[in-house]
Amino acid sequence: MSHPDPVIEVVDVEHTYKGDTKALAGVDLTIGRGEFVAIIGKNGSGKTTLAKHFNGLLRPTNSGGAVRLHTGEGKTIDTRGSRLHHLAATVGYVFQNPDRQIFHDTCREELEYGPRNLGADPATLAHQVSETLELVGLEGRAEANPIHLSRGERQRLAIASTLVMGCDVAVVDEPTTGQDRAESRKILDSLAHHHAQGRTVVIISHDMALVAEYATRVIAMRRGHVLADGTPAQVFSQREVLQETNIRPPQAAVLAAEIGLPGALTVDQAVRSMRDALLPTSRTPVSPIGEVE
Amino acid sequence: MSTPALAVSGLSVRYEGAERRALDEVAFEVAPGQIVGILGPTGAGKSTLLQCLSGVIPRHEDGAAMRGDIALFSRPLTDFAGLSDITETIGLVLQDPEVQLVNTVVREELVWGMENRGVPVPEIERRLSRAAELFGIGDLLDRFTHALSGGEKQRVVVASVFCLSPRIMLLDEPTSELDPAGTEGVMNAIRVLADEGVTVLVVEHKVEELAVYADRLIAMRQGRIEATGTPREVLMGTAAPDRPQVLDIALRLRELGHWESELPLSVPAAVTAWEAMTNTPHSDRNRT
Repeated sequence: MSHPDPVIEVVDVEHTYKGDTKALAGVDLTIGRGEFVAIIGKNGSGKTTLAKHFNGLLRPTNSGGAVRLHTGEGKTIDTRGSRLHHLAATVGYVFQNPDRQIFHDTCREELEYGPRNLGADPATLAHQVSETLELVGLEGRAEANPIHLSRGERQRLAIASTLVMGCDVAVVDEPTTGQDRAESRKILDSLAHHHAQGRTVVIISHDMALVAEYATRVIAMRRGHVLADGTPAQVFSQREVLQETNIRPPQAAVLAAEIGLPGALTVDQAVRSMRDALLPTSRTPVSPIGEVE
Repeated sequence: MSTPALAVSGLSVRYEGAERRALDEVAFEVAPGQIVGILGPTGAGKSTLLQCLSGVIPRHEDGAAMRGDIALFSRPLTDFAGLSDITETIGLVLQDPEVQLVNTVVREELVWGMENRGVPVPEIERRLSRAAELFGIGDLLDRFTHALSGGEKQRVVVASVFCLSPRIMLLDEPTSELDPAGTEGVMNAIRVLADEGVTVLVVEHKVEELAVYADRLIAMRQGRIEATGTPREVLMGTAAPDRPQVLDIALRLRELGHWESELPLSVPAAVTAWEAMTNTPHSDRNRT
């Protein structure tokens, strides 16, 4: 997929872990500024390996492969020749387990740490921190110790500590693992608010219902290759392709496709198209009274 | 009901310094060979409940005050000599597989517990190959445990508990890091074990899987049991923290006056119901 305003360019990237098979076997893709991308695929398909290339946590192991970042100031950086902290200013990465990255005694300090290291002005920093806490719905918890937060709140704190850096792209690995539905929504809503400010968001997720609802683009991986790439509707409609990689579209999408109403991906969309399908065929609206006659 | 595998009454737990009880007068019984899914939002007390049932609370948790009665096959938990005695009956799989893995190679991880129990070698080998088959980990046996993916670790940990052949398995989100195929694999394995008489309590957020695999559901919130019954009964009620999407769709359409069939818990059931509603020609409808 080409994009008029690219922020990450991945060119023919291969990655082989020491003594192992190729985790990435030639990936080409461009992520555009302002996209909300979901990377999907079964365990071991190369999702995390790909995402870690976006900010130089991993570099291509083939000489021909390259990952280039286009900064907001119009500069192009090749991840291979650049220091990690330099790349992290453009692409922030949130790890799967928030407890591996949280280390301060209050949420406020946790958020202040990164920007302060980059020499942030104290006055604007305070403002940035409170704004970011609000964005992720932790505005009342600034002075709380992260160990007293729920797992979901800690996940949002970890996301906030990346968002507060003001990077162009936030990459979040499995943001909703082990979360209940309500908490999963809060986490995705936080990222959606960030995205609404013109930022780019990349998530790795197994939760197809959330992917269908939030992402603008879906990249399906299998055995180190990009298997499908497009809008959620385009990708989730390729059912034979998806079956190969054990991805199951959300129930709403599967049901809609099975009963001949493709296009619906979410519960709302399925309800609407199923209701519409019932109306015209029956001529007179199907009403409870009509059914009983 | 014959002798219940698990009987819990008046179970309450308060953690030191906590504002409210983590468990508040919890009571239920589980028949042998059932799969019981435990649902509820974060903080509902699901993990605390599993820790009480396995004796970790109060025996190994000083910061939690517990009262109430728990019996395994009519034997009060307080009569058991210690955790090792309890684990003869109960196998617990924790939420984070990392804290449970103690060996460097998968095969050793599976064999270790059985050797400690003095299980005869032929029996060890029998259970090992059964575990490999049930949980699809045959090709992982010679791998290093630290090099496994999160989902692979989860399958290994559940398999290692299976190897001890417990009569009751307590699983705390055993599929959180598994993809759909992996989740289904673990659920299928649990179903097979339950059909052989093993009782399974599984804490799980994946309500679409629970709707299909569980015999009963328990919905918890803030330390209390809010609803219990068949998946259909619980998921249709207001206590369900989440519903399978197909059930949500059917309930919404029913509200609009468009769903007269039985409410579905799975996609195939929803398709069948839809076909019954739409393919039936109007003349047929008029006949009824």
